[in-house]
Amino acid sequence: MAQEHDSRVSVRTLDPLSDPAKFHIDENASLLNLMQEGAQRLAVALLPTPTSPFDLLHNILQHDEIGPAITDLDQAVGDFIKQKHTTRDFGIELVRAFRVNTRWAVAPEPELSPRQILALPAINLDFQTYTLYLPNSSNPLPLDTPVSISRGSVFEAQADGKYGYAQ
Amino acid sequence: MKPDAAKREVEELRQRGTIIDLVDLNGQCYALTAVEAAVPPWDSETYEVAIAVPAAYDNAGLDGFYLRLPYKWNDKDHPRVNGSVIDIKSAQWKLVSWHYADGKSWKRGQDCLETHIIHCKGFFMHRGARNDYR
Repeated sequence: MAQEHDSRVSVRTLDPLSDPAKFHIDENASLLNLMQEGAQRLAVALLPTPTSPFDLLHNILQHDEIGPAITDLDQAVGDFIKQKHTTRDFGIELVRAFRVNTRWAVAPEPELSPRQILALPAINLDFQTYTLYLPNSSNPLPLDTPVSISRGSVFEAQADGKYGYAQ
Repeated sequence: MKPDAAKREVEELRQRGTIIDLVDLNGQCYALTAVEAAVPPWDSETYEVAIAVPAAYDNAGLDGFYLRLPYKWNDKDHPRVNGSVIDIKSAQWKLVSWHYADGKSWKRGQDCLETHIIHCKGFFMHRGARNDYR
């Protein structure tokens, strides 16, 4: 049930464009809370975590124009929607977030070579020391052959090993 | 003794979803975690491993690991699970002879607990091995 300080908002995903989830939210809640609530109602998992998403929140302006990504997700919903030219409609941009080991990054392209993946600032592993694998594969991914990266993709970067002496 | 650098890394890994614990056994620190394995030849999809963390970590690096017993590889013992046996948390753990490749030993600032765990997983996936065990 809506409370006195609640605002009715809508949240949808962008690309793919979903039907909006419409709900009431406390005006004192943060935009991050709004994003989390919207994602939950849309059955979308924010990546890498709901508390620190790489995914982006946009305000949907008049005439369905998509506003720039909102950088301050800590601001209150009420404060935001009281600003001039803002609306109560929001969109979540689902980015191409993927991880290597436990390190998350956003892929700038749908295909990257292992050399490019390892060089991403958020990954930052030396291609001369680390080899990239799919999680359950023993076959190294060739260093300069692009691999497809989709949202949630997982790779493992492993330093080569050697067996010691047998007894 | 649990080195501060290891405590920091373990906390970060936990925040990223890794199940990992640090224990002190008579002054020697171990990181306890689990890694996936290829079935077959291994008889389980995951194994618990213990990584010895030197007191001077991360100035001193990591090498090798202990495998919690029991296990089977091709219905027998693996020829490189052949080191000393220690007791941690009422279980026995055997040292595995698995090291960094020649010329690619531990490098501070680049390698860490996270990368070492994946390096250990390589033993169970038979990948990244620069020599044979037969």
